[in-house]
Amino acid sequence: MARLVWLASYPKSGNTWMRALIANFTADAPAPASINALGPLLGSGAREPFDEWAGVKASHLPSSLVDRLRPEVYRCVARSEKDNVYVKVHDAWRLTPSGEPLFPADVTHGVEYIVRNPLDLVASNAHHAGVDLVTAAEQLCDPEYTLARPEQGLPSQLPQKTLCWSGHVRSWLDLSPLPVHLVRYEDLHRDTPGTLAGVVRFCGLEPEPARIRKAVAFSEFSELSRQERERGFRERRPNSTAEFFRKGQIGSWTEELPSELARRVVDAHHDTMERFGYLEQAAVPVGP
Amino acid sequence: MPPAPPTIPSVSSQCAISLPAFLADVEVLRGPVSCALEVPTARGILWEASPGELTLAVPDVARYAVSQGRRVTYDPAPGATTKEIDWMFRLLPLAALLYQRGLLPLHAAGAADDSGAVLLAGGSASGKSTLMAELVRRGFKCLGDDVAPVELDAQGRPIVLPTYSQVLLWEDADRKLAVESRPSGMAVGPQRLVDLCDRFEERARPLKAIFRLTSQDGIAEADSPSTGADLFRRVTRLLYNSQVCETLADRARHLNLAAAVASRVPFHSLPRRGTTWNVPAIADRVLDALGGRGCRG
Repeated sequence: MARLVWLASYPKSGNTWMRALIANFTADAPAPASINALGPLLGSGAREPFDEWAGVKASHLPSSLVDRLRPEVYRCVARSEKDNVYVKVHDAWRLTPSGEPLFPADVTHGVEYIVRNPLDLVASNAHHAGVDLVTAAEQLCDPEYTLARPEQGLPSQLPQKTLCWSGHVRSWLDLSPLPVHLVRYEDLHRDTPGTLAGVVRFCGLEPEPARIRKAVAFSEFSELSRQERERGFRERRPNSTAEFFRKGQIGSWTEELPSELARRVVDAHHDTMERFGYLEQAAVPVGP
Repeated sequence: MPPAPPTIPSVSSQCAISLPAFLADVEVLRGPVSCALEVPTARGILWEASPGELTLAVPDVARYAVSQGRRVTYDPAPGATTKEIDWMFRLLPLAALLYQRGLLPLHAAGAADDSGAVLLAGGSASGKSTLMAELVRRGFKCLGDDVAPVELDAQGRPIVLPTYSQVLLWEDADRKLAVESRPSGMAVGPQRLVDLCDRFEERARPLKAIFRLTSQDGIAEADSPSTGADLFRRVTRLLYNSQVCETLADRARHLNLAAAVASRVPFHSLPRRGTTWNVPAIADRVLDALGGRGCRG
């Protein structure tokens, strides 16, 4: 039976880049992996695995029952595979209505949790979701925020509760009993080979230097961006106002985010930002 | 789940399950259903399967047992309506019956005109039913929603068998399409079951094209795959519930069917952008691909 490695992050924190790195490392192929086929990775909110393993479509079931059944879907996936399965997760860690962890420990190898400066997330999420900066900032601060809510028509994914940014971070790092390997997006940026080696080691694999170097080269922002320009990217949202692989930079918030919105984010997430060293970089006056 | 008492089939005078005409020989019984098979080969959360057998327990609706392609037994949950029991049968239990009988159930809605059938395939939320209803509005007839039975005719050509005239539509789709229909009195969340009875095709039709809808912004797959294996994979990924298929399908017959579809039926990809209302434009593309059949919107 396989184990699941949860690649967990708040949206736009570098999850896709991480998946590309892992896919290119595990494939060890002569050419970069396609961004539209990053190996046997699946998303925690994917409908098809739920519909198939439950035998009843999620769209035909009450949402509370869908939540209760999701841990069993992940157990079925683990049972059906031989090698570890990497699962993209944007949900916050939480319990289902029946009091069971949504992400079951008995089939979990561990969690790679990717954290990114929330100030950089505002513009990134705004472009991705096709909303303005104010809305994106409010979503980051909304403790009830849920991705893929059925508002008009049926979303392609199951609803995923993210909470606010700091709620999401704390849920995985402080509330979940799962073994967690923390990756700061900024560290991945500054030292991709070293950070990837730590990721690979946590996943139970040997970080052979040549394979690490190749995975890094095949997953560079320029490569991911080139593939998107040439072939499109299936995870880019229909309402998005920019490419999915937009900038891939650290600190672009200083150019993109009005100071009042930066202050709003810092006010809402002060303690968690301080914990990861983001407050010192913020240099935004806190308070009036 | 503890095993229920042994199944003792009994016949009820009021059968909740309606069968398509081509399945008239299947026996439908109402009676206790044990959802625990003796030796399950595959097991999901609410279903179990072994060669020739499938059981499914739908919470608050019914338990179903589908056996050897010849018998369906259902055990209603307290308070479940016949419409709910019938509707849930038309999904996985129907697909299981078709696998057991050697047919190929594709996860698709079907529409037909005089020259043949088109299948609109894709996962949940891809827009199959809405697009099918739009084609019906433009002069096609409905072959069925969600599960499309495909088999070969006497000349070895793929044909689609008709199932049901009812289709599940979102409320706004039902209103905007203004398809001539009758409400069926059943809702599944914000979706309504509507009956396209006056626009239902009762004959099996030759399969002329498959359109695969994707609900994400991407990538239109190349319409010219590079190998026979690619062609074959395109068809098999459209099968209804691949986990159940592994256990229930007669592998040799199944491969033969899939290969016939892959080699004879044109395949088109239709990336659909989000939940915005662009169904008429997608329907135009379907008609263009078919050489202008039906009337444009």
